[in-house]
Amino acid sequence: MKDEFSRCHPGINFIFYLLVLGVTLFYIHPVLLVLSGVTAAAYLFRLRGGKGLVQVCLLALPVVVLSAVINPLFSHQGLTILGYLPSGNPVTLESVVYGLCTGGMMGVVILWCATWQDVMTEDKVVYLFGKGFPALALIFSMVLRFLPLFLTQAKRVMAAQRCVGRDVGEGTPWQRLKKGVRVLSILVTWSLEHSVDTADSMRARGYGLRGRTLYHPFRWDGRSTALASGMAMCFGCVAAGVVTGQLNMLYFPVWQLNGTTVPACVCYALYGVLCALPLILNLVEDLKWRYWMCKI
Amino acid sequence: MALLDVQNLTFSYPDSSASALREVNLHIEPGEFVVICGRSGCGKSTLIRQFKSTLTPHGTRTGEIFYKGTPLHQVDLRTQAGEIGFVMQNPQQQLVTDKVWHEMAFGLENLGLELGDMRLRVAEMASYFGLQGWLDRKVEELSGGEQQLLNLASVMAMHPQVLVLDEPTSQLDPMAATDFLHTLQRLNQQLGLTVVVVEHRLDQVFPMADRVVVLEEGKVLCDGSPRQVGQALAHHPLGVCCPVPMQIYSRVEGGEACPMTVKEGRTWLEQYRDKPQPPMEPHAQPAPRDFALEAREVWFRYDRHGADVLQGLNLQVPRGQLYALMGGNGGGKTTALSLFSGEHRPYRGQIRIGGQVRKRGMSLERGVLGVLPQNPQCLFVQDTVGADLEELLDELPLSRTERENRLAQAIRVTQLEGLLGQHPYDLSGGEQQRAALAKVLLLDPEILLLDEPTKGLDGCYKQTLAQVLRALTGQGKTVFMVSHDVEFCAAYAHTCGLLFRGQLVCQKPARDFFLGNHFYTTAANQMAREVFPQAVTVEDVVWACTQDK
Repeated sequence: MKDEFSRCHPGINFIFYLLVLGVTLFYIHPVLLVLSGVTAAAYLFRLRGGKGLVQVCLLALPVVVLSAVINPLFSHQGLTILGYLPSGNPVTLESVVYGLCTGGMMGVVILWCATWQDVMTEDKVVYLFGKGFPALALIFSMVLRFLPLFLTQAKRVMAAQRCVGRDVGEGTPWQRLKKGVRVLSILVTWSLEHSVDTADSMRARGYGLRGRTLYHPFRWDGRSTALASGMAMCFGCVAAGVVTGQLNMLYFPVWQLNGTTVPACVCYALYGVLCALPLILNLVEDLKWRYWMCKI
Repeated sequence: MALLDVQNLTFSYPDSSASALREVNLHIEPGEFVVICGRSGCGKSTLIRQFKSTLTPHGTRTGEIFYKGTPLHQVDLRTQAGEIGFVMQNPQQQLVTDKVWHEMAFGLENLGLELGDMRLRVAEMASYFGLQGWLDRKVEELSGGEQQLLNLASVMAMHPQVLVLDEPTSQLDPMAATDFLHTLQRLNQQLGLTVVVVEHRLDQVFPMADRVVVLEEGKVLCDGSPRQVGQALAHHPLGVCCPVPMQIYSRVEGGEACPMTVKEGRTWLEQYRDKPQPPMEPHAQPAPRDFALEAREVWFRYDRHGADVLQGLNLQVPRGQLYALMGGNGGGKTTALSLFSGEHRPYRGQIRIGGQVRKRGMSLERGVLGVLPQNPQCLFVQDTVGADLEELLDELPLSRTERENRLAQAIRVTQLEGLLGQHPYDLSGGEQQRAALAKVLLLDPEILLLDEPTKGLDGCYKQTLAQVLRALTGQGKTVFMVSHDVEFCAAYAHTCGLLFRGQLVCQKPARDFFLGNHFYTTAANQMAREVFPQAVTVEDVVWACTQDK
């Protein structure tokens, strides 16, 4: 399925992750966490389907649970005492809540990082960070080209060895090691051969001339500016809410959440919109197409 | 003024006494399509690498090359990079970056073009070569032919004045090679681009070329129009690489009015129409009853939900024969081979090897099957061919004399005598293939499986390969090969099968097979069909024409 958010300018993608991950990481607030977590899960579902979401959740959930269990074992701050450990230290409600929230934070970050993998492909990363280091960006691109090639060649060589009755996966560990080393050594020779050709091809096409420029297929349009300013506005409101104390979370000595005032609700809503941006873009696109199809 | 002008060029590599190029003179005019050919090691690559300063190998050089009247070493590197485009042999190894769009832009980035200019050029070239759909793909996902087309497009984006290509199709399958060469022809004719190509598929490039240059041992043997060169090559070993109508013509009468295409060949052959036709000697073979390989109602697919690649394949390979399985791309040829080699298992039906049903876990080590991989280079693990062969023998449970016998026999059969001291990676394609074949033969297999053995071989190497395969079948071994190469199969195979959509639609002795087909047949048959309906190979037509002269 086409993902509208991935097709935005890499700058938009990057600003989005910067803001959302920034808030999630540095301001641990239960409501904001839930908003961030739900939208991250929904977006991941959209990208990878139920199976993919479950896979990532299986990785994230233990982190949440572990953090919620471990934190009260070692942190004994807080006034609401739930019980006592065998060592005589108290288990407090506050440390459980704090553990749950930091664990939740880590879980949500894992979810967002999973979506990052799908959205921020290598070419986008190279484009964003390659401007300062053009040579490094090219090397990165060449490594990405070379690694799969090397693996394919390794597979081919091993398959060919099977043709002469020398399966690398057969025999005693010592024999296998010997065969493996043999394959590796010929792969090194092959890599050298390969790099000579690649270097020729690069020089033939003028690599090393002065004044190299960078090509990229991305275009920053009006929509990008609109999206960027929209995201900045949402983030600004949330930040303002934090600074003015409308959004507030105190864990110790007694955990205390800000009241549900109108400004707080506005902040929640705007943060929700910010986090849901990829989903909203996809939804708008889907609706547009459905509407269009009706007309056609 | 000539675009490229080579004057008295002599070149020798640092550590060799013999010159790689001797007194070469060559003038390439703007807009010409020049084909350079010669046997491997004749200095073709050395010559065209002189056309670009950054690629020139180290060595001593006398003589001069002029580009548009200026000595090449005085032309600045930026001009050379942009105006002299160079495409090399191996499609994969020339690709520098990971994405198609980046690859196309790579040269433009080096030239320091503005983003807008680059966009325009990438767009132009992508549209011209029909690559729009791939721009976002990774280069490793492309097939060999597509990769080479991308290499061409990336060089063309730099707007070269002359395109120099070093055996660009030698790693491609025949269909992709034909496409690639036609693209070159289109560039030459539509854009007036000067093309200098080293190529061994002479049958395909001759009709395209304005001029053909033949090199031998570093010297220009002949230089002229394709027809003149065709005449000159008639009794040269390279003659077997020429277009089939040319071969027939030069062996039957010879002269200036040489036909180059099947169409011209048919017109020329009309004069023999009323000639009394001697009956072809019948190639009667007893119906074989002993099968080395057999597939019975074999069904196979790679994915549970995928399409069936083989759909009830029935195939019998008679013992002691050379069997060629043919068919288009995606017809399931290579899959059929992988079922015989045991790499995959059918989900329905039986595979029989030497009359016995293949069971799970039956390995190749029993000396029944030998498989030559499509890319023979993958088989080598040592620094010299000799060491590579001996290393394999070391692990076989054989006595010393037996080992020496096997080694000597494998080397003799594959004609490797002079190559034992070389690094396997330094061998040419045909030599690599023979070295790999020798390695497989050391296991003394009864049945040999070959996947596209003629891929990338020039006509001379094909003949050598045919001799090797003949020798093997002569020893009673069975050879099963999968191939696209109609001419090779017609000349040397005993039995041919045609696979289409996972089923064997035809399986006959080679001659009957090609006589029965209308399109999937040899050039000689297409040319002589009306006049000598029984002729399949060049030999047949020549024989029929010269019967009572």
